Amino acid sequence: MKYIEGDGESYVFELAGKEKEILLDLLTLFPSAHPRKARLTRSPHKSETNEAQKLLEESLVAKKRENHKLLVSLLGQKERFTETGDGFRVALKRGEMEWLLQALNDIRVGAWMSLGSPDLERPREIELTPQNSSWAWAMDLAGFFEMGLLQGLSLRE
Amino acid sequence: MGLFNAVFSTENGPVPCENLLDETGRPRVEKENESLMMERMELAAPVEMPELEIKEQSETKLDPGYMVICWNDPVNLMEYVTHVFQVVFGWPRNRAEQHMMEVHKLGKSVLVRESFEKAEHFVHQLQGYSLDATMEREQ
Repeated sequence: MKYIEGDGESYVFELAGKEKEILLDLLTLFPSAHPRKARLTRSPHKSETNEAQKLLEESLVAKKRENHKLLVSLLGQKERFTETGDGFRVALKRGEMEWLLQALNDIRVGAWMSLGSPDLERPREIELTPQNSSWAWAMDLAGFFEMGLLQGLSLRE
Repeated sequence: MGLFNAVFSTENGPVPCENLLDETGRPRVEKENESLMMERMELAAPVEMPELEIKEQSETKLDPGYMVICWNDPVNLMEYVTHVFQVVFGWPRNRAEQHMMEVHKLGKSVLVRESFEKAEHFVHQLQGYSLDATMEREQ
């Protein structure tokens, strides 16, 4: 995934042929089936924040539902991906990039949880099996696409 | 609470903040040389200052402070965390990076100190980006 150009409101990226297919497949994992448990506070004295905790959980569910709708809408717009000689180009608005980043990171964190929340600075801790290797791929690929989007934002800024 | 909302009350009644300042924004005192004025003050008999009571015009009670803390985890990318801080708090890149490095090296970073409602809002935003962020009451 490569950043091509942007004007602060709209950003154009180029995806190699396979990258588009992989990205679209990856996004079907959103929202993650194994999200991190949302907690408003780490304090042991939680009685004062019980209601606020419920509000947080509801808010996150609603946000994911909204992001999912936006994602389905984006992916349904086949004309957004214009074919080039080497792959595809896709133009994303600034707001779309934000919820795409949120979706990708939700997938990444969820995949990490599915792997047992390993310490990624110690790769040997991850025992890959045929059952969990797809989560390792999902985690790495989500990170790859996140960095592609962030590169575009940082170059533009 | 901002000072412009404060009302200073004395035994003679309330004195709105704006009446204490002249049109140039300086305290309403005789317009003379300040050092001369200081001399006069030293020679004058000590004046008992009226008790000033700053009343909060807001109807809510004063909230204790809450810290919004971002905790380290192995999965969130440093570049991503920096970006999220820029978006959620409107920080310039260098400040966002500084807090990101604190999270990375120290295990956590206190991002802001706010009222309950504002801290809650920020935690919602940060967790929407799947960061491990919580709000903790200030001691």
